[in-house]
Amino acid sequence: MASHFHQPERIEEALRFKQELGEAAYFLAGGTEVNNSKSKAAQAEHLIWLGKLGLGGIKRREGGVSIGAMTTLQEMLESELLHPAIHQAARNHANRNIRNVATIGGHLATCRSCADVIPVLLALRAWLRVATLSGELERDIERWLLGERDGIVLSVEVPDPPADLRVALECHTRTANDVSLITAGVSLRNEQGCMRDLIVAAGGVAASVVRLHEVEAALEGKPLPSREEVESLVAGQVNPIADIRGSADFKRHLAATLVERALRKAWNR
Amino acid sequence: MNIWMIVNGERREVDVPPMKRLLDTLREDLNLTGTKEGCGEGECGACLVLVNGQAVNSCLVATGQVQGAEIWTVEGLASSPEELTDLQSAFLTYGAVQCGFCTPGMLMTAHAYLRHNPDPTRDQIREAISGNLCRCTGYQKIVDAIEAVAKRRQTEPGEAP
Ligand SMILES: Cc1cc2nc3c(=O)[nH]c(=O)nc-3n(C[C@@H](O)[C@@H](O)[C@H](O)COP(=O)(O)OP(=O)(O)OC[C@H]3O[C@@H](n4cnc5c(N)ncnc54)[C@H](O)[C@@H]3O)c2cc1C
Ligand code: FES
Ligand code: FES
Repeated sequence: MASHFHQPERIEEALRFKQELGEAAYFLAGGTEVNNSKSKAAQAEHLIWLGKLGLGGIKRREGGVSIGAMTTLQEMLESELLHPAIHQAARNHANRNIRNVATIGGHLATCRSCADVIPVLLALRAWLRVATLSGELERDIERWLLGERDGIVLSVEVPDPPADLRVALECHTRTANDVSLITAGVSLRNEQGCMRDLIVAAGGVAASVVRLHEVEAALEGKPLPSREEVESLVAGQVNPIADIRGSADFKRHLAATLVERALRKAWNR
Repeated sequence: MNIWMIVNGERREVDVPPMKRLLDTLREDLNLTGTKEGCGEGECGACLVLVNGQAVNSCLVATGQVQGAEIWTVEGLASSPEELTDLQSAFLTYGAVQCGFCTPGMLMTAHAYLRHNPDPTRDQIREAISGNLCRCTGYQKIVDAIEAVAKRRQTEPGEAP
């Protein structure tokens, strides 16, 4: 159990603690990961509590909505400022008791392979504001997912989508409460019968949620092909691992099915 | 670390390691053993308490995180063993309690939810208690009890507890 509980009131102070303490310290947000006795963070000697940095709240800003890193997933689910697809993704996350505590910053930093709320953030072209010791920067969520995860997430910035953007999500869970096994999030515009500005994201098929760029490139500018064609395209582009939750084949099959369904839903919307 | 909080309406102070689980602080330091530990990892809801009005699993909260917060546990519901709240009475009337291990958490979740949504549908009740596992009742009677209380409060509005 951590013996030191730091409660910085300024971002710089929090970053400096982390820099000095390195691996021995973890940031603490809602704590659903960190306080879970099974987690590695639960063994850390120092915890740096982010609750006093004023990072909560969802605000309208020029051209979009800003979600503070300490905003809980339940607050996101209830916020009228957010896109309905974000509500849908948040609703898939565990249950109200967990959502009342789990934060979006912690969700991004935990970066689970099958994280429920990340695909929709990719589909909506959201980006992050991150504080580092060399200053505040804007970070693409995809780069964050690929490992550029230094610093403290300050907020998730969701730009207002174009009026004709269509977003659709799919997921498969064993039980309603369980974290999803596979998730899919897509967005597209239909321009004269062709798909434009396509984003295809999937969870549960790699170490973190990923965008399937090859699938996007193969479909961009075309009408949606047949179900079989889309499924085999997707199946060829994902490499899930086998684990206690499912075999690699099963997950590949699910990913193909769910991405195809999401695309068709968006297409027909 | 010295930590104070308002527990069931009273200011309490404890001297505990800040990372001690709120669940353990309540049970061991404040002797409030109504709050139960089922899984210890956020899956079952047996440890559920209210923190500033929100239903949370106390096994996933560090005591340091609730410095100055308002906490309600199952002990805070009834003013005396003879005067149960309408929700507690309904749990008895409707047979929503068998072994009773899930009951404190279930009551706290339902208590918080009815404040948020005083007139829920059965599906909404099911969704609201989906983080609280019960191995005995099969849930029907729990949903019945919560639904009955909501309906009664609609027709006989009084001071909701
Ligand atoms: C019972 C249970 C059910 C769950 N179900 C789901 C589910 O259905 N779907 C799903 O996707 N996930 C699920 N999870 C995972 C869930 O814990 C995360 O998704 C959650 O959002 C983490 O947020 P937190 O605030 O609790 O993080 P914390 O536990 O506080 O922190 C998690 C990690 O993030 C870091 N961190 C926190 N905030 C920041 C920040 N602002 N900047 C940088 N680093 C930060 C911390 O250092 C730590 O390493 C579940 C977890 C539990 C315990
Ligand atoms: S003991 Fe806390 S959720 Fe099970
Ligand atoms: S009554 Fe036994 S677990 Fe619910």
